[in-house]
Amino acid sequence: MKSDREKTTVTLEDLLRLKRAERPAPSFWLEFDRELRAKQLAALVVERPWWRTLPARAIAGVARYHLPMGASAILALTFLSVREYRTAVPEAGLATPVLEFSTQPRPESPDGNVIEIASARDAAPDVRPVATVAEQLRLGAGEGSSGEEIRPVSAMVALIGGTEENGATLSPSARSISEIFSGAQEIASVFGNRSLMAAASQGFESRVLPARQPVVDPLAQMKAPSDVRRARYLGTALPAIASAKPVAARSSERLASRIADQRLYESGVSRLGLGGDRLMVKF
Amino acid sequence: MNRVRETAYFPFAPRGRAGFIPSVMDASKVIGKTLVASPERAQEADADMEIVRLVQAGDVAAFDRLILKYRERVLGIVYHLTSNREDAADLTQDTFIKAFQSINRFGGQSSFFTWLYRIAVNTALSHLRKHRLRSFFSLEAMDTDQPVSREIIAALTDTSGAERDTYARELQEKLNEAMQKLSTKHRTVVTLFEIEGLSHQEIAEIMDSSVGTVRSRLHYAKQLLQAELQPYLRR
Repeated sequence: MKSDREKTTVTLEDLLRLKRAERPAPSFWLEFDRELRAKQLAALVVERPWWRTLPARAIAGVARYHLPMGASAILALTFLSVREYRTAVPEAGLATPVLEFSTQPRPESPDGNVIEIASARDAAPDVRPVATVAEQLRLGAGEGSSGEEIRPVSAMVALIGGTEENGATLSPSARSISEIFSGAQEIASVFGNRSLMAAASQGFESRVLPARQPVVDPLAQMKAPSDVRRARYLGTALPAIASAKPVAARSSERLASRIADQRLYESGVSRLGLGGDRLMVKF
Repeated sequence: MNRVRETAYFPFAPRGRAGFIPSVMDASKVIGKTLVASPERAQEADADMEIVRLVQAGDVAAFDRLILKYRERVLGIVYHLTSNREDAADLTQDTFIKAFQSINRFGGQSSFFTWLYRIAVNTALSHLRKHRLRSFFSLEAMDTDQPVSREIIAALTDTSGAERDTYARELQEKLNEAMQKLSTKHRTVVTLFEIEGLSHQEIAEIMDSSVGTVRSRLHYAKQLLQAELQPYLRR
């Protein structure tokens, strides 16, 4: 009875329920899982936006040129450092607004060699305190100098706050400064009385005051051929006079020493004579 | 779990599970809230939420459990919407991939299966919108060995053997043709309610519409289907 009644009535819901029977075979799920796994792995690997990969690409592109780029960087660094070194050491003949230390004897100083601290040439307003200190140093050195002894240290120490003579009143900082400067003096004497203080002060001043150096025409620095010739002749004839001239002092000294050696050699050769088995020496 | 548990029986619902709606609020205002119609569904939602938390914590393998649990249902929804098994397989995979990619944004405002079904329906509808001019059937074989389908087919025909199978295939094609004549919204409502067995509230939540709209669409879709399948109905 019941089955006969069910057979006779088929509703829309029954028909739609038939669609539930449309199911894939079990083998379908194997393929489904495999494809889904591949898609899931692909989804895990997220593609980065181009602006994030750009630096890595740039580095990778430049990586093949890292050796020439490194060499170029080293060359550029070397060039810059040499250039900085040359600008720090001023060329001879160029006027620089720096402090100058000179060991030339001053006419008004009866003691002979006194450190002269010249005031800055073309004194700018900024230079004035440094020049004042330099003048005070000069005055202190002139008053406290004895004989040919160079006394810039005492002047500076006196400025700082104490005197070198009464060592008991020196503060520790003044004492250390005096020791440093005395060491610098020794080094200066080793380097042929070249003023180390001058170089130091020039470097310091050039760093403090980046004043523009006046442009000097290189042609103006060249000497006339006649002057060169005259200096050579004079150096040959009168080496002492030539060396005394301040214009070509360095070159004439070098010339005079070379010529003196030549003359000594020639005179020595002329005084020596070889004759057979004899050696003659003339006195 | 902030779920609305104040439920009351709704006598006009066609099914018992679908007959629970919030007692204090209007049925049209339940969108976005998780409605737990039965204790079984509540337990299922809690279990899903635990797995979702594992996946959000970095346990990617836990998502496979969700796939195993819901793949047949999701495939069924997409297949009945598209009537194409190849497309259904691809769209089901896409659904799980989308869910996997955006599972960190899932905060538990709705149950996981509702959220997953919404992704599946939107994916299928988007596919149908793109390929509205290209539609052809690729049907799965109907399992006529199931008791329910066997009874229905036996009620429709007196023949047996090969003729019954031929009749079942013809009926299957007619069913799919009738379904494809419906609009996508009506097809979705019919699929979710009659085939997948979801409640009106769940369908409303999935389709982001009101329960009244779901009922209206369902009624209209049934009328159209009855007109199409009249030769196969027996009263």
